[in-house]
Amino acid sequence: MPMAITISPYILLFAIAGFAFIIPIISGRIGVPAVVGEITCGILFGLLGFSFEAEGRIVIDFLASFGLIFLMFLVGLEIDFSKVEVHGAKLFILGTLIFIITLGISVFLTTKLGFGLYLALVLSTSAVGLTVPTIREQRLLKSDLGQTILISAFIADFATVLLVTVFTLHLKKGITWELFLIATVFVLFLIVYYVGKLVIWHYPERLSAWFKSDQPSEMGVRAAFALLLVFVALSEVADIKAMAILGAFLAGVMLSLLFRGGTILEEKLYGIGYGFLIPIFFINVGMQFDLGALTRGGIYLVPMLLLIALAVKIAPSLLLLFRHSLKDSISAGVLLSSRLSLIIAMAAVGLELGLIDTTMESAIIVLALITSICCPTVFRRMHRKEKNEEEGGR
Amino acid sequence: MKKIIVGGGRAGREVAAQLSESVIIEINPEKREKLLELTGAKVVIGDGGDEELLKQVGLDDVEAFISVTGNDDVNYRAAAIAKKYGVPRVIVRVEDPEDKERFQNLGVESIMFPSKIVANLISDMMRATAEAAEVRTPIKKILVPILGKDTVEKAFTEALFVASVAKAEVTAVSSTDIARQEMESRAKEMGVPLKILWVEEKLMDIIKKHLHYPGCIILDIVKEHLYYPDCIIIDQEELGILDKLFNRSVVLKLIKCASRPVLVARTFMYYGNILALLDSSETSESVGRHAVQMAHLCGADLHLLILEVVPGELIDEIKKMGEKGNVRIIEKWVEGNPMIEAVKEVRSRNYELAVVPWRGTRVIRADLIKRIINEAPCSVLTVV
Repeated sequence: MPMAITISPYILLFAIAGFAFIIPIISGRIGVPAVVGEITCGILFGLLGFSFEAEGRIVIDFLASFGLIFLMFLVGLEIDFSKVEVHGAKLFILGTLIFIITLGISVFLTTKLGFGLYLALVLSTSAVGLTVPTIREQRLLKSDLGQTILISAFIADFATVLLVTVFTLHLKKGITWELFLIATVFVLFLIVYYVGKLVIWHYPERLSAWFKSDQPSEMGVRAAFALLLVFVALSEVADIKAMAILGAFLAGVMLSLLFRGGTILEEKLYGIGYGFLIPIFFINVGMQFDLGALTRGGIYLVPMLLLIALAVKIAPSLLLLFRHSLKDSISAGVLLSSRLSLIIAMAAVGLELGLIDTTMESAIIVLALITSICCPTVFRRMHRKEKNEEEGGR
Repeated sequence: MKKIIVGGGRAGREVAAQLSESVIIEINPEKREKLLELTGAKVVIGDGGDEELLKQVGLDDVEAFISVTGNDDVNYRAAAIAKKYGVPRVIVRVEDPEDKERFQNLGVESIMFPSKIVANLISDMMRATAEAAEVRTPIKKILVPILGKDTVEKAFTEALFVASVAKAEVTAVSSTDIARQEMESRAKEMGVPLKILWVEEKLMDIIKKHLHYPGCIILDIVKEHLYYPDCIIIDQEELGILDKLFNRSVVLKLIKCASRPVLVARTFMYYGNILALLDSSETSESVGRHAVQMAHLCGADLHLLILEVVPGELIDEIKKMGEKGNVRIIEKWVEGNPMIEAVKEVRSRNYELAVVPWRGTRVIRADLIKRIINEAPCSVLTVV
């Protein structure tokens, strides 16, 4: 029997904050991403039988869902369009082609195995948040291979968020006026973008202060929240969770497009997100993890998803053979196979809409845990060897 | 809007000849006759440092106040009055570089040092060594595509200024309907060798037709004449809303395919303050080098706007070049958002020339570069 605790939401928050503080220290020692630690911690909570009731549930649910929105906002912020600008349309086309093949294989495999289209979309995601630091760490950020991987990851994440929104909206409401809402969000996006550019050009003095560290009223953070919530609120009109995610994502992309390199503001937003809201989301995800269902007959899902997840990324990466060696192409596929935040977010959305069940969600979480740890490690190994060979050859 | 020019000597006459609606104030009545030969210019005899006289001439509707007498004190008094009455743009000639601070404290927008320019030129001639060559300009051939009739007044003027200090030759490419004689006589006055290449069709039309052509049509034309310019100076383009939305710009197209420095002319005079935008990209070295060279040629101050953490060697290298070229370098490290700070500086009207990379880099977005090229209030030199 799960142990129901009726305690003040503040004590709950304190407990979560305490764990959120300790987890990165531990996961840093073991060498896994903090997110993995947070989810594992949540799973342990679940196994120990903790669950929240009434007031606590409401508070944690809200914060977790806002955490998810904020997470998507930060994923959007992570996308750096100047890379596409600098490296031109070729890489963009290559990335798009890779994604189309990924999606094709994914749809083919999931429908063959009797799962819905939603799973195909979920499995087409990448993890920009993991790819960027791994590539930076391997000093590949400026190389052609590194840029190709990054742009492919960006495109995969952007396209899946968009497709999931269209898909769920269409599924829930059919072809109705609400589909136009997506178009409206994009039109709004373009308008805000153009107006934003004009404002930067004409009133740089006023904006300048927002990004300085000694700003007493934190106008930059306020403006970012306002921007985020405009898009989220508009998306809420359609009453579709996926759309709120798209909105948050677009708000992040917008901020990145307009103010790329506003490091101080970015750091503040990362602080709010990764320091507080996002751990709550991941711990909550872990707590909803259904190990029971998985062991009762869903366990076969894990290797199956893992195979599909690897196949849909590694096969299209062979396109890179035109410009790179076989090893580089495969390593690119392996790194693109890592999944983390976005796939978990998509799983949460799918579960809420009833497009996947708890067993599948749990299997996806395990998939994310495995790939987020293994894929970057394999990528590092493949490139470390190369470095050693180069050094040995000299 | 009128321009007031204090000093009817050679410099003042030259300026008046190139600007419309100018009022020249000259203290020596004997010069009146010669000044009256200038078409379109009004001549007032009196002391340019006299507040009452300037008030009579009228300082309310003045677009620019230019004081170019050979006497720093007169220029100082005149500039102080112009500033007091809020003239939007004050440009002064300063003979003694040590006087600079005094003028800067006045808040004068542009200060020019003819003596420093000449000194730099002479020292270049004397130091014909490898060391001097480092800071000496590589700009020997300047190409000016004359896109419209009025370009003769704009890009061509600026090209003559640059060519006169760089001792370069100017080649103009044009269709038939321009004032050839006028161009030739002005080039001669400034001692700049001029070549004019004629093309049958209007250049603008040719370029527009080939907007999606992978090569560059202007360069192709001059290549036929075995001409390879070091720098292209082009007029700024008036863009319509649709052009802005779809980024259709002849100038941008030219910059994209030129693979050499392109200067978009807007200042039409010597540069007193030059701004260089630097980030950690590879182009920054080139931006710094070109900026130092321009500053050296014009006797200008160079302001380095450093947008992010950059390798120390880059700044050291630029400073070293500056030292050799007798250029004062002012560093400014950006705190806050680099894009916004860059816009703030470019639009501040404190500079006559901004040196930027030819396309977006890591921190400097392509959008921002395009905007600076199309809309900055100063001339823009894009560097490959």
